[in-house]
Amino acid sequence: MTLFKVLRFACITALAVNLAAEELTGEAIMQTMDDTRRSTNDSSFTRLKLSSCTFGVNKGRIACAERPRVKVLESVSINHGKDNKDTKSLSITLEPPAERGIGMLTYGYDEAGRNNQTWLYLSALGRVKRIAGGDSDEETEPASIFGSEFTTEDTDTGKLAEYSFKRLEDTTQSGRKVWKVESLPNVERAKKSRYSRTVHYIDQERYVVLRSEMYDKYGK
Amino acid sequence: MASRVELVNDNWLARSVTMMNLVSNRLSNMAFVEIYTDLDINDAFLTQRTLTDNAYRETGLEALRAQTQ
Repeated sequence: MTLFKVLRFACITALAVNLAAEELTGEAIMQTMDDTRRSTNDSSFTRLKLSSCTFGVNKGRIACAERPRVKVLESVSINHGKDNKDTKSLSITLEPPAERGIGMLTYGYDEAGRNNQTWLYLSALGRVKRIAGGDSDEETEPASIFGSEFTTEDTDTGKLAEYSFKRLEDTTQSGRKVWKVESLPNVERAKKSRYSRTVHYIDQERYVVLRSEMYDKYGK
Repeated sequence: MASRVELVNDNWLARSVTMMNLVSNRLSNMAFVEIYTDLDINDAFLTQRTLTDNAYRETGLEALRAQTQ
């Protein structure tokens, strides 16, 4: 192949990639991001550290204003169901010792309208408690994950049909080119969600959410 | 906010995610210290029995830990 042909091929390829990126809808971006996140969790075993604290701003930097509460967890996940899009995940507390054995089991479903199921086991009480999943007669908020600021809603995958997506302007985040996508829950999802609007900043090359801004029902 | 984006199982993953609640002024950070994928996980392990049966849970977790060695 001559140098001219190589250059022409490279230009056409670059143009095609650029056009494809231009034409991507907010929904298509979110679908690929969701698929990426789900496949990372499949048949996985994870050890994670969950730290929480009250924060403040000191000399322009955000920092904990108190000693953080730290929990160490082990988590197991598999995908199953139609197209392998449903998930089962189990997380168990290892530390602190006083909380060892506290566990959370979640069955997540991709299908819109089908509520996820979550059970919490409190080892000190020896009881399993089902966390309400937002049925029509029990409109409840998602459960906190082990007392942190994360909720089951933040780690969910699927149910994209319960949202409308709008691609906003492209921008940068942490030095990376990102798509900015606004997500609005439909009426049914809004009853079960903490958020009335979310704006995601998604890495254009790696399909990873680098930042999300979530707004409550009062727009805060 | 996500950081430490790394390739895991041919997919990019943020190994550190921070949630800042501007209403309560509290934050939480979730750091993925170790991640192992493509393991052999029995479907029966992801049931309520694993929550309540300590011996069953520990046996299952030990088997998973052994797979990561």
